[in-house]
Amino acid sequence: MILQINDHQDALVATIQVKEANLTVSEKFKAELFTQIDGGSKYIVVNFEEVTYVDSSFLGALVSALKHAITNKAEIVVAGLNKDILGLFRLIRLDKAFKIFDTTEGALADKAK
Amino acid sequence: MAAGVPKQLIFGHTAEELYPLVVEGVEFLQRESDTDDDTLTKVKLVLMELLTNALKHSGGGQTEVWLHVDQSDIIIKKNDTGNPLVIYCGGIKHEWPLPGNHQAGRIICAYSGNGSNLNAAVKNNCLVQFLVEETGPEETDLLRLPEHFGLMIIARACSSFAYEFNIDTCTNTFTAVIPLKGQHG
Repeated sequence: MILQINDHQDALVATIQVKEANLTVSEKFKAELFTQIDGGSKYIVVNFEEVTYVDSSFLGALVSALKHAITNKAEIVVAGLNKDILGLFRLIRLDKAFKIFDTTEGALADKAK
Repeated sequence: MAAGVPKQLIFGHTAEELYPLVVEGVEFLQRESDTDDDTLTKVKLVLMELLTNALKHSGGGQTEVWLHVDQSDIIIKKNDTGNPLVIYCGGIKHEWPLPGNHQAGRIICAYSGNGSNLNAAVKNNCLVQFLVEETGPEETDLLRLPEHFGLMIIARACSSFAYEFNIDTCTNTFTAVIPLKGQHG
């Protein structure tokens, strides 16, 4: 499993359990996120705390999951990005497509508002 | 800084090698220059995407990456003999070398969406320069977001990014130029 899933009332935290989030794991990551969306999760926090780096394939999988979430009236937000990953999101403007939180707690608090 | 000896990285196309090679390249630059953190972050992104591209598209053999620092720039070159560049634009497949001798000046869109295009400006039938064109605000319809970011990441991290196919040796060369601190907007 790429994702460790933790339920929090009406939200779900999906923690990426690999340091190197690259094309070798991107399809599996996408499939696991799709499974959570298809299972009815409406607010998914993708937690990057354990990730050292992300490549374009993994970001493509994340965007694909975002589109699947939107189609299913669900929301995906991201948390725990290190400086390099946050810089990458900004570089290709994905910071405008995803809500970004410093921590999963912040993401869950935002949902509870 | 003064121009130093180039650093060669050899990539055998396994995922396990990828990140250690990126780190090796970054550590070389830290030793050889006073490159700032923001520039090193760009170097990391470029190396990662060039090697990922090699992992996806190289048919065999090995990929060579050269890192070189001159007075004002970090120059990263990737050479391999894998599959040549292919761009799909408007439903048309463009494969290098482009046919014919009258390609100069043509623009082929390699990526479009989220308020920008990545254009391949054709210099001749073997050489293109990638250029980012800002076309407007970010995408508001998230269902239209692109899902392929590799070339765009490199182009945005660099001041210059080009691809050349050598017909004689069937070698692909990507050249990325990243300005040293204070050399670029």
